[in-house]
Amino acid sequence: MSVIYKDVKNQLDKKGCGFCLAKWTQVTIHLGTGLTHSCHHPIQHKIPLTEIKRNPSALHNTLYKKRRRKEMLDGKRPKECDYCWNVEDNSNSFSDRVFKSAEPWSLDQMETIKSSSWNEDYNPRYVEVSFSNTCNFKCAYCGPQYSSKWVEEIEKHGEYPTTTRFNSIELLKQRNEMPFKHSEDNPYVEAFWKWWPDLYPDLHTFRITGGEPLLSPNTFKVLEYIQKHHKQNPNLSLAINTNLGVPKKLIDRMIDICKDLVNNNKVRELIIFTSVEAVGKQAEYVRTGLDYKQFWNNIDNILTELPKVTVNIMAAFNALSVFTYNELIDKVIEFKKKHHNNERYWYTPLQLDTAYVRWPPHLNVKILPDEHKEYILTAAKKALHYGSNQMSSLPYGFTDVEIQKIKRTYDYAIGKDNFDVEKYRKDFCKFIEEYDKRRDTKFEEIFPELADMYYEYK
Amino acid sequence: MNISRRNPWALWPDSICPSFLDNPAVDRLQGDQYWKIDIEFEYTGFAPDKQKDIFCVVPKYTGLSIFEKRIFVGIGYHDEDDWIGTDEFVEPNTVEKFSYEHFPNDKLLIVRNGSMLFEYDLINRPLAVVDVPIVFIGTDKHIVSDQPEDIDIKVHLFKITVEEGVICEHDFKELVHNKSIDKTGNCNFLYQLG
Repeated sequence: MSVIYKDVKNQLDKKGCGFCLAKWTQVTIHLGTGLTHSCHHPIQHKIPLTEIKRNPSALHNTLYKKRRRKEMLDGKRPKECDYCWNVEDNSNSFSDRVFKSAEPWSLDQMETIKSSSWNEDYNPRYVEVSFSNTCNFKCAYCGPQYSSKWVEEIEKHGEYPTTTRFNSIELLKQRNEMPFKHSEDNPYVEAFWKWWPDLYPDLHTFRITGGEPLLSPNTFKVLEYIQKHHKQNPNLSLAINTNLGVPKKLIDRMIDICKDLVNNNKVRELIIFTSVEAVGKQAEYVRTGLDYKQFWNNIDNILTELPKVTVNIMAAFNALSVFTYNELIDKVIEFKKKHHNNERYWYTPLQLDTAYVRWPPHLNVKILPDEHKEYILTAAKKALHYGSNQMSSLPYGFTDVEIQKIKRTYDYAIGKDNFDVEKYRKDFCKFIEEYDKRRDTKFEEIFPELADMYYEYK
Repeated sequence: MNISRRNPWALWPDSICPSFLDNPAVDRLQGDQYWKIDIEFEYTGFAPDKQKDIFCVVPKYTGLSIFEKRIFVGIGYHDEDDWIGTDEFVEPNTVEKFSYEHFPNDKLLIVRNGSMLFEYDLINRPLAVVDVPIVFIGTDKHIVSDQPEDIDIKVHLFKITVEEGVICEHDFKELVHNKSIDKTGNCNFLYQLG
């Protein structure tokens, strides 16, 4: 594999030491806030309304981004991409510039992009779109940019009294990250629909995110468009994010459309992404709005009704995940077994993708006492024992990537760095005290394991 | 643990998740390190005309096999493998206890049921040091899907000891997801192949 990446890096470097195809081929667009970036390392920038008025593809091809592309084509390194420059200058590892350029939606565009002019518009191949922040959940680690429920809470009660001023509307406004209200006309959404007929045929992957996408009429409008116009792009890889906590009629509507897309080969593959990172009451505490039992009923229903579809659980592993992650692993293996078949687009019916939360720092696993961090290792070992590969006698199980990501979370939790444990433990307790007041919950009853720490730092 | 040719077992945790274990037990089974393997098993006598590996450390073959009830010993020297037919035999359904104790660049001692069976001189011809050692238990010559599922060995104990002590121990009483749990807690599990 590294031979391929070495070759990709050589091809990139022939054009310039800062050349990266992702600046052209992929994009994440938050239509609710008008923010965009091509890869998650550079911070998002605002899309100027004047630009999308005359050119809707400026949702991706902003003048700002074109200038960064010019730097790349001229052999320079854009400063906003310093994450990769740090990797390349301080290690022998390949940076994400190489990995992202090697993606299937990027690599075959290498020569076209190399010979392009910096100010040309380019239709991206990988597009992730959030239509709005409308969401019926307000997860503890989330915020107003991504959740209208969070907006309501902050407007009513104000920011949290942490040293980071967690979810301060004022700070969001300063950073120009305040989303449009659901009731307001949104020029970014209008621009998207102008651009979409031209964009759709060129797409390799289209991912709908949120907010909660199933609460946005635009999500169903896109899905119905694909149903009708699939011949323009039968090779589309489609991904839908959902919290699986919306009314049943919306889940059923999504399943009906997905059935048509899948059974009639209107897309190349379809993956559904969701989130949970704990079990039972602890999961419901972290993800306000979640009905844990219904969540699993919905996964069961999707995997039964859509025998080719994989559901991916994006677990935002945080300080409140450690006590029940072990049980979550049991639940996942139960579903891997129950829904195993040889028809799925991906290897497994259900995938547990563990990523640790770094922000907000008061929910970072590093705030935990050492003995609680060991629960993460226990969970990783359990996943390891549930592992399988092509040689195993059981054809279902955790993949090496799923296992490794849990182990990596443990390594991160115990790793020594300049994280200020005392400061963020205090923040954690201030946050929890306020959280309980606002949501009428009782932390000590749901997390008795952390009661001592809570009282000590409160 | 009942083992058939169709579903032998492997000590190869890295193949499930590379780099999870910092120091897997199999990596210690090298020609430049002290190690001891203990295994207790019963041979059922099924298909005696076919070779059956009780255990083997590969890719250089160091291990124990049975063919027509006769015991064969494999020695994976650094240059090539030796395959030695002995004058020892096993009876079906009898518990056998074997240990292979390796002293680097010195000797390999093979003990059967508490009695010294063989001593191999390694002073001028050490065992191999390889990149990825793997232990298989209960294999035929090849792992193929059309092998019979009949039980031909029952393994009661498998243990690896190094200078620091026991680093891998299986009595096969605790199984998870077709894996035998390593009693030492080191995650050196054995898993069933298929």
